[in-house]
Amino acid sequence: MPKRWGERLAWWTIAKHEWKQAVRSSVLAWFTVLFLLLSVMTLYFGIQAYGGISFQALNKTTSSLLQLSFYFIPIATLLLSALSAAGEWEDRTALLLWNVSGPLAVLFGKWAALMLAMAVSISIGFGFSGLAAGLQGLPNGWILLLLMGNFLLLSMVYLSIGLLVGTWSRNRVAAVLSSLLIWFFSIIIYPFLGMTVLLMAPSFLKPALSVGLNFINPADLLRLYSVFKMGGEAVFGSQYYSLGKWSQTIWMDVTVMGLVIAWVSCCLWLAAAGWQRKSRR
Amino acid sequence: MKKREFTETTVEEAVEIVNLAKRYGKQVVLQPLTWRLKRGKCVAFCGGNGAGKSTLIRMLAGLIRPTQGEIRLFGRPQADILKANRRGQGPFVRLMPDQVTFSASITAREALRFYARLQGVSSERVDEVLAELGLDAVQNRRVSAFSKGMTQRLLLAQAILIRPDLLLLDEPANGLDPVWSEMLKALLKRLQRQGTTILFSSHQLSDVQEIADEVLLLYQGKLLYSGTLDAFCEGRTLEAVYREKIRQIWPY
Repeated sequence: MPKRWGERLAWWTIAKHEWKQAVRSSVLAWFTVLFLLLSVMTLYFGIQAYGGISFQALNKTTSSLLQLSFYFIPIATLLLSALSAAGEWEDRTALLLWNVSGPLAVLFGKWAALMLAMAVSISIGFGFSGLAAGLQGLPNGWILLLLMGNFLLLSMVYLSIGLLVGTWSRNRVAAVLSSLLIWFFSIIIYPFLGMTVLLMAPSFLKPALSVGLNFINPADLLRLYSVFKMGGEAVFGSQYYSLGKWSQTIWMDVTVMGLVIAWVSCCLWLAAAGWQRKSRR
Repeated sequence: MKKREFTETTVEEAVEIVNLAKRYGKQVVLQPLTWRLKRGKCVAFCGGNGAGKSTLIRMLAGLIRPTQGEIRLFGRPQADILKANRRGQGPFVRLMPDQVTFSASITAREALRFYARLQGVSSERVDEVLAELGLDAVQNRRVSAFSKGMTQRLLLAQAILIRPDLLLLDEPANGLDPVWSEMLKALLKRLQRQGTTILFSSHQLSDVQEIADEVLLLYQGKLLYSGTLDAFCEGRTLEAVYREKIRQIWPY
């Protein structure tokens, strides 16, 4: 009898296989180069804008880096994972996995491998700038490390959303279009939508709504979290004063981690349901 | 190599289909079908394009949900068997689908090792299967560079890594050259001798006549004949009988 391999280690085997493919594909290399360019350029222009190395220069750099990365990382991770999941069905390799592994093992394995790939890419891309900033003697260089951590959390969430999109999409083209739509809504439209809701909402609801709306969208939540962790709560104004105070406590970290885990778990679970549905049409 | 004994069950029937049908909206793909197959037999699903052969094979593999009816494999509900398979327990059902595109970046050996690891099969068995299907010389070549016939052999290789109790093959001879077509027949006969029940679909009726014990003839989702080849052909070639049967329904 073969070993009772089953679901226990299937995800690990799938993760190793997915990782091998990710490393060999040029996509990961391109992402790394883009992250590197993004971080080096924002660091360079941040320093240039303030005529030298200073705390202000670093603040300028980190806020630019934060904004650009919060545009780029969600679309990169969405496309990466959505194409991976949709490709399994379009290429029909999913048929070979059907009765040797459960859908959750397949999807979790994929997620873990792509997460590792993103971690490597982000670490090389942003780590290089962090090292350069440290060598140049920039104060508060640890902020880059903090940002990298937040970018990884952002990758975790959007990779799982991508797997969900890819699993429920008919093919790669549909997966790409759906990913673009989700990115456009969550990164571009949502903040404006939030502002519109806040403008129309009665004033007694505004403080709760402004915080609540940020917590619903993972990109906004993590952007808010990054700014708070960098000590920039003042930019949000008085409405966020209590939240700013609260962000200094461990409970903010616990809440953010909890929400990230909830997003990832829900997306993977729904993706597994989609995989199951496709397997038994 | 880790030898695997065939799962001992007292049930004589490998496949039992009761009133099985598939419809997509108003389109009937398979009309209600009741059919049984004894263990260790080799059966060919024959019929033209759109006859329902692939649908039936995929339903038996658990990849298509029937609109109605029930499938029992080795005396147990199909869902139980598939669940047990994912836990590494037999009786094992394996499928060789048609037209699969493997990842461009992996080699044949890596692809096979991946499916072997998922099933808890040793690397020695991978080597054995690669050699059995003539892929040992090209095992380190990227699968993207493979011809249709080589990809077919790789697909067959993943299906026989763990010696299956029930092997489902969708057009296995597609794209194979005459030599490998012969080798495939020899391999299927060997697997059958070892106790594997084999179901395959094919348009190559001369091959069917050589290896199948029974035939199941479908036409536009309707069963025209099921039984032994000898009774069906009565000394004639399968191709001649097949043409005659089809002409009776559709005088082309």
